[in-house]
Amino acid sequence: MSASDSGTDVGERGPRLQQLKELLRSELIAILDTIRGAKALVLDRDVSAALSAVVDFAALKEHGVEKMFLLETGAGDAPVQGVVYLVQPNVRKLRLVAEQVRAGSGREHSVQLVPRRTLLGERVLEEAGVLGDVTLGELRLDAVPLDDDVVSLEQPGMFAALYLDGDFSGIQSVARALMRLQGLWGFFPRIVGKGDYAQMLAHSLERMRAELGTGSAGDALALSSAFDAVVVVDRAADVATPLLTQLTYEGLVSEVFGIVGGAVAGGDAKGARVAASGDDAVYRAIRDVGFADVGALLGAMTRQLQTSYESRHQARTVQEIRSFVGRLGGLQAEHQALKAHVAVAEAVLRRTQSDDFGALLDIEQTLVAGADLDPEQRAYVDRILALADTHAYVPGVDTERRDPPAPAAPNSLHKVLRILCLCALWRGPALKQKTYDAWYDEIVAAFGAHHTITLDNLARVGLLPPPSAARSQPGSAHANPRGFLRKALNLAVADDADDVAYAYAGYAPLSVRLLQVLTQDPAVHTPAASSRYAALLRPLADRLATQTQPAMPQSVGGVRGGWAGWEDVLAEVPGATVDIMQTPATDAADARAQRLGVKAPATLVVFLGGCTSAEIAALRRLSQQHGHRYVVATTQILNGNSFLDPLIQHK
Amino acid sequence: MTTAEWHALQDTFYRKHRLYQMQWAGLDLSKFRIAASSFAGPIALQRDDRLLLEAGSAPMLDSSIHVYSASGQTIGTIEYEGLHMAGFSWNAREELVCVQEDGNVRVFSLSGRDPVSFSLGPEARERGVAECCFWDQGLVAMTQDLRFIYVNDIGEPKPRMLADAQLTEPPHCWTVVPPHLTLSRHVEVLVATGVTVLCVDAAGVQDQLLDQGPYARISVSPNGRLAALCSLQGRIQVVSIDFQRSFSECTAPASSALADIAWCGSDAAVLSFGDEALLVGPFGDTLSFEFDAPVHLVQELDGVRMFTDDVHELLSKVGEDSKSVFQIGSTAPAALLYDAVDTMRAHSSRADEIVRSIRDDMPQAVDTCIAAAGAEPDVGVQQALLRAASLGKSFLTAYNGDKLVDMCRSLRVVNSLASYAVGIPATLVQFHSLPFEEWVERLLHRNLHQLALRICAYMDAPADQVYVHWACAKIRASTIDDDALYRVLRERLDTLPRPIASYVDIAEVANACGFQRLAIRLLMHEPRAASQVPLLISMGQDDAAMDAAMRSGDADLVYFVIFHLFKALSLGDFFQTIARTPAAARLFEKYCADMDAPVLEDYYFQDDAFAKSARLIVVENLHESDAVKLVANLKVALKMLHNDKASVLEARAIDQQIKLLQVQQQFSRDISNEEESYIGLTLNETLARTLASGNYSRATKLRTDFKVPERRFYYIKVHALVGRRDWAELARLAHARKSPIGYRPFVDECVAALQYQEAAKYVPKCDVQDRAALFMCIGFYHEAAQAAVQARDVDTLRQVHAAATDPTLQHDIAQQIEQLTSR
Repeated sequence: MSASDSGTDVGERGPRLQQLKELLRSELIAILDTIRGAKALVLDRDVSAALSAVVDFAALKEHGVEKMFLLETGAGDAPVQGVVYLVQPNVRKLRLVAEQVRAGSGREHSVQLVPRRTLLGERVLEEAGVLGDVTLGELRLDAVPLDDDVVSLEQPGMFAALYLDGDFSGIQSVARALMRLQGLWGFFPRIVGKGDYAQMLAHSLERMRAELGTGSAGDALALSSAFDAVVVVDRAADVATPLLTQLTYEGLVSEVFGIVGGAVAGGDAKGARVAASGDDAVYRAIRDVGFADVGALLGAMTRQLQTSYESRHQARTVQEIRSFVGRLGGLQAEHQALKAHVAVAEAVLRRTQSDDFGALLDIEQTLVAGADLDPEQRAYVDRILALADTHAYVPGVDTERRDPPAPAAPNSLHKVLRILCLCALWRGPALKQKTYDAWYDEIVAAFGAHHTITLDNLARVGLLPPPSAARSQPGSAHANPRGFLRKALNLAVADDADDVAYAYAGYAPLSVRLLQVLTQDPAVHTPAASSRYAALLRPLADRLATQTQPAMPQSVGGVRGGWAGWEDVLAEVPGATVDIMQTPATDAADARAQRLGVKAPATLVVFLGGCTSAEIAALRRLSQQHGHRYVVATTQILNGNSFLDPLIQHK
Repeated sequence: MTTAEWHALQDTFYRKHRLYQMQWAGLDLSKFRIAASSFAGPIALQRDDRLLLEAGSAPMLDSSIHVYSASGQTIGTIEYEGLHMAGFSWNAREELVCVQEDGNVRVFSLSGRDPVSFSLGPEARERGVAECCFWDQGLVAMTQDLRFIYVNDIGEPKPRMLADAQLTEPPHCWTVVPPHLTLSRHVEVLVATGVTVLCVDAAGVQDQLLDQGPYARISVSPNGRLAALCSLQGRIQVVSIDFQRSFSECTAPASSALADIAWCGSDAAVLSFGDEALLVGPFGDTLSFEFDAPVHLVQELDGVRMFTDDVHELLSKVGEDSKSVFQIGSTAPAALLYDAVDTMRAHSSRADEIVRSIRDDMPQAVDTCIAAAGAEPDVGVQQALLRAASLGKSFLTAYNGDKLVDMCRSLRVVNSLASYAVGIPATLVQFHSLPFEEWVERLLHRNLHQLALRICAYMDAPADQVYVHWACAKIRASTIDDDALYRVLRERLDTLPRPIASYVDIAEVANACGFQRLAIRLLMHEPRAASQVPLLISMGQDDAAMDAAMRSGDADLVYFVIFHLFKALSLGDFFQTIARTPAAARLFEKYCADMDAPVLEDYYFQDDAFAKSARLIVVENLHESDAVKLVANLKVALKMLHNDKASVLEARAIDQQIKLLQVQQQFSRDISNEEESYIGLTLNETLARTLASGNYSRATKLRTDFKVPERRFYYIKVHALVGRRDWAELARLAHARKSPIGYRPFVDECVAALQYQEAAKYVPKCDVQDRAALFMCIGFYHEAAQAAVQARDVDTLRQVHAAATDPTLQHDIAQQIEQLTSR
């Protein structure tokens, strides 16, 4: 089976995420219909992207929505009888809602909490004295399919909420979302994961199943035959990956421009929308390509389009001309999309060719490879700190782009912090306390005294561990755990274009490597590792030894062995290790599934705290290589900037 | 003969079947107001307080509500005191909804315990409720001043007004169209006033412009498509719901006044006139039924129940299946099969003949017999039909018997429900249209635990709800102590193969009945934290509640406990309690921070959380523009930071910030333009602005005062000087002493500012290796070539050769390359 064969094959088997979209849509419509007549929709910014992924404006209009507003502005004095709010049950947001409800008395107000109605939300409205004036409900917009292999769990900023604020309410929402997936496709036979909140989520899932099981309708659900397992990756287990510069096309667009709601932030030069979602055929073809190949690929596509256009000259008969004209509409649309992406890609390429980008990448690769910064690299860091720009545009965080991106990225706080955090994480105890203290002063001098809070936040969540703390990590057998992990999991892969490391040009994300451990992928099967589970997998090891070209063994794909044999590695990754078998109920359907022993065609990979486009690209590559679908469910799609932003004390 | 109960109406038949001889002895219904529940539910009677009674003649003089089953057996009595009732009715959950004149609504369960009550709002209270109309979920009340108030969901009542119909006199009649039957999906009311009908909803009033009124009665068909109008003159019309088309008309016998209308299916209506009931078919034909006493109607899904003092009957349309078996002269295969059973019993060989003649139609015949059995009210006939189906089945090789088995099981349950003792005469259609659990629930309302349990077992359904209800009933009736009771309950519940669900429901009852210890012990068995926590709190078990909430992993439940504690405890106690659970404390901090609650300050203070207190001050002052105030506030923060040993770096930063602000104030004094103010700038920005304004000595002083590292200062200064185009100062900086940042930044800054001549001055000071490339990039090819030769860098030399346009230079370079490579 060739790679391309398995690619198409894989896409068609297993769960159809579109089902989820239909469900969400009908729930939304039902809520809209509870308020009669013309109404305004007031949207939380964090909900609007998910909403547009589920319905278009025409459908909303059909159900009486006259106008849409953002929560910051409110419905104002729009001539409508009813106002429907779709907001997250966040204290600040609900206080805003309460203010607007009080100002707009005489209207019918419906407040729909997304993704769930909470006591906290009720309490805030009650304190504000408007609980009696509104219809309070919930819209379960908690698992929104963005693509046929990506589900957004709609919990932006979750890493900061969990590790900075200790606010774990998002876990319950994610658990509910996963219960919904299990409702559609059956219970995941196995829950594996890494991280403290991964464990909390696993326990929540178990408990919810138990609660369901005791109810009358409980045992209607069988074990899933679509998913073989859910793998939960707590972002805290791998905080370094999102800080690195992503080097797939989509990743770079996100790093250079930012991607908002399935489109390039700010649009093209004229401000027109440039799609950045799987619905766009051109984008779909190039999004996961490594940045070195993007130029060539776009060139090839342009040439092919040209050929299609040229075919009109070969048209001789009326039929041929008619068939060409019939295709013209599609060609033009494709041409437009292609032109837009060529422009975006050119801007991205200009950036990648700049000295600044080169220096940044150089630093990242030095650190990942385990070396210390050389004087030139230190000078670069000193310079961007000294010439810091406190008002820089930050792609992925700012929603409105103000200027076309300069070839050299502005020296934003985010950029500086990404480098410093990477340094602290990879150097670990090797970082000098003196350097650390000097950086502290530099940041404050460059960006302001309130960033003492930012720096404290980063230290507390483990992104900027002071060297003293790095040295005294409990339970660690290694002076620099990350150095150990690099070797044990083969994280730095210099020259293998097939490895998932292509997404970061030579660095394999730890998160993906953990999945590869579970799927027994040869990439983590280094000589050191083969002794590790040789006993478990002797046949595989043998085959690897005899073959010069290690072919993908049949047994790869899907969660197989679990964590067994990797205890020493897992001990160095922060957080609890989870491996739970969900036992089948005594149900006949389960027994049948067990008997048949069919290999489920997909695995769900949940990222608590978000994942990057490059990580998704890496998982897509694994899907192709394994002939097995890895479906990503992430609380947010991140880049380094949006990952850090909630941890930053803004003015 | 089965068809004896059949009454022909054109080509269809209606079956009038006697359900019960009423068991209530000697009750005179005319003295009572009556509410009978659909789905074969109970009948509630309350003495009509508007009628005069002969003293001593009637046994039930009080105002309490008497509840009977459909067979006329007493289920219970609901104590009802208070105001006159404007209306009462059963809702879908077999609860009696009573609306008082003053707009208070009380909802009683069948047991009559703990009624839920709510008000229809101030309008209803002030004006008084005149009449009510109900549907299975909600109600509409008409006030004395003729406005309509509606409640969509009695479970979660939110009373709202419908639009003002501007009625000046009470309507002749009015009725409600439930939300699920209207186009708008919102409740509408049809009001007969004058000669027309108004359609009123929340948004407005629409006059249907009819001219044949006034109408004494309006009734909307169960599917919402038709309305039956009955005029005061006794003309009956069936029209489409939009009043545009008339389907049938007839005139009622003028014997007595119209009492009620109910729909029999969706195409025929039954009207009651005193002792007579009149069925009006789809084409205006009628069937009349006489009774011995005034008849009352109950509309059902598939028919109409009619009861009097004495009897209870069911009127329903005869289905096609029954017709094909029983219609006289029917030669349908099913009819033949039914006959075959009799002939076979008689040992006649004709049985074989009949079966042979059916042959290919046998599956259909069997199906029809099974379906007909389901429609038949009489058990004997059901049995005969099922026997016929069973006989037919035995001639078929591949027939799935599930249908027959299911029908037998369902009928057995339906028949046991319909017994006199239970008195729920539901048809099979009704039985299937509600979930099975609801039927069990109905049995439990009547305290028929044993029967409910048996039925659950018979139908292979979980019996959790039965056990829970039983346990609650046991607790309510109990006189023994907590521990004994716990033993009794556990003894029974432990024998179950699977643990039951809601222990919390039982615990709640135990708590309400004063068995608190029992309640706590029971709660420990509850798997759902969401239901455990509120009850634990209501029992004062705060710690246990917090534990349960934390275990659940649901932050919202933790918030629930926190809010309770905050309300219940004194501030000091609250702080102490919350500090015991750090995770909860963090949630509390987050909430306070988001609410901008001042209590957070107190919390940090008593917790000696100096760093956090300091941070709070910094955050609060982020937008403080008054430098004097800002300095004062930051000093407070600094003092707190000094108390915390772990915050050395932070303290130093804040200390510097205070100094910086003081310096900035000083600088700002010399400045007239508000926009150029220094306040709020960072240290680097302050430096840059000072340099940009040409105040070099001041910048140098700043540098020493704030111990700015030399390298940083150079970067900022070079950038600022190039920005100012102050080449003399830049040269001075470069030559004063060796630059700590090298000379590359000088070149880079000049190149970025497109000042190539200036850049060229500093290239010779850079590293030998870099010079050629730097000259290249600013277009100085001669110099580039020289530098490359110096560095013996052939690659760069080749690049210069390619880029250069001057032929002499190219020639020279070529020579140089040759020399370098030849060696």
